[in-house]
Amino acid sequence: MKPIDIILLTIIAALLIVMMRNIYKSWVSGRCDGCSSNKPPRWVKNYNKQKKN
Amino acid sequence: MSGTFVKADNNVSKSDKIDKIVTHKYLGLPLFFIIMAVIYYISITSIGSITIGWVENLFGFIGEKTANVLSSLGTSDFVLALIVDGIIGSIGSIFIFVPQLMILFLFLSILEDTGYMARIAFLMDRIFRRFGLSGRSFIPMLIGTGCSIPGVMATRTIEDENDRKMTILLTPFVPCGAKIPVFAMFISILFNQDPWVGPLIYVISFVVIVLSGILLKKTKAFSGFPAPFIMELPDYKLPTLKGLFIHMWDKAKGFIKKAGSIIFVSVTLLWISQNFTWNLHYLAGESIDQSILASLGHFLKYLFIPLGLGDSWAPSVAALTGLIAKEVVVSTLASIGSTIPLYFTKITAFSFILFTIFSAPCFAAIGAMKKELGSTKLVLKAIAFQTGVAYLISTLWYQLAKILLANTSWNQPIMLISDNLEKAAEASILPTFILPVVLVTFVLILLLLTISNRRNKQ
Repeated sequence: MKPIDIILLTIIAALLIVMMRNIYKSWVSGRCDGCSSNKPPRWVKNYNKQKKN
Repeated sequence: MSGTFVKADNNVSKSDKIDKIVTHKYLGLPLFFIIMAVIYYISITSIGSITIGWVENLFGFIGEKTANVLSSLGTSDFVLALIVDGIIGSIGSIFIFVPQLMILFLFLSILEDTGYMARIAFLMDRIFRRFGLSGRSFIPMLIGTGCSIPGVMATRTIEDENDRKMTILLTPFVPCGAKIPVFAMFISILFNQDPWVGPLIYVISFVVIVLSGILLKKTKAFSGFPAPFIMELPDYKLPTLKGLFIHMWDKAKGFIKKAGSIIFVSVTLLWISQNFTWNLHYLAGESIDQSILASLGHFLKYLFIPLGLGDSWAPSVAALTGLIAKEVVVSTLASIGSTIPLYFTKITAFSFILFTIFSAPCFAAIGAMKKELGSTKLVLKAIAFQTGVAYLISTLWYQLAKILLANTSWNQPIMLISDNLEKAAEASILPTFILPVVLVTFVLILLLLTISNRRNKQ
């Protein structure tokens, strides 16, 4: 294996580890990492506020 | 006296007049189906299919340039293949459907912004209540057409706990944005761009939701009368250009973010498992049957025999990778299909589509279900129910279609390779120049509408 291979593979491995950590966190918290709308729609939040009041 | 007397008919607004047709007892639903079929025809079949070649060329160009740079740096073959074929090629295989998806969401945003979707919720309430389901359940399902996660979260508006739990269970049955590339791929390659396949999938999902709801209502856990659903129908209004582009950008941004995280991780791991043996021996695209992925697929494929998907190990592996993110199903099939011949008939392709739509959603959606249901036991039951329904429907379809459509074109195997996708795009019934012309005309119309909206406000 050449030095350039080791450098590239290290970069890919580091990216994989960081991203897998983030993805795992998002799965556990019930959030979609990268989905367009992670939050419930605004009217859902307003409804919850009204309910509390 | 005559001056003070106003006839009731004069008070009927434009919105009320339109509502008389679009929320009509018998006309409402067929009209909705026709509108959806036209939207699918434009976004997936005709105009959308032209864009496939453009994105494919773009990713081909990026791959070629990257390969040149890496070769000049003297990288090994397997690192080059990992980056060019594994990462760039696989991400590209998903991205070719993004323009289609954006056009589709643009039209859905128009329906939403004009106030038509609120009428659909009203129409669905009438049908849902007839089958003992709450009309409130439809709103989360409507949100679920974009992504199941906000759909599951939107169930918080349902006060009745049984109705809420049932909606959480049924919302992932709605084909979300991530599932669209899966059936868009099969429509383009196997179904000769038939415009009715896309809307048919939505109709099937609606029927399955209603039938599952009726079935669940018979159980002790979900029994009871549905809660009433009161909603105010907003007046119809013209959509604004800004609003529509915000919606479209939101979807595109989501896809780009996903490509940089979950899709990147899954395609990289997928490529490694497809090109290495358990002893970490590099296969260099040959004897892929000895790879880690193949050994897993050979084990799983027996489960997929009743569904007609047991001939090859690829569909079973693709179904499994769909748990990471549904878009990964496409890159898995594209990646395996580029090394070994992968055949599907229309019957088996439809069976695969049905299984992908109704089986357990991605892990992120499962996480959202866990958060909302608040119990691991209930989530496991929900996953078992969803996967069981998917397995049953796909098996029923395959076994029936195998008998009824045995001597038709539905039973002819077609190879699933990207060349066929290109051919399908080329075979599009519309000439390539039509897309820019339509888009420019569309933008101009929206600009005029936005200007007239502002003038009316002033």
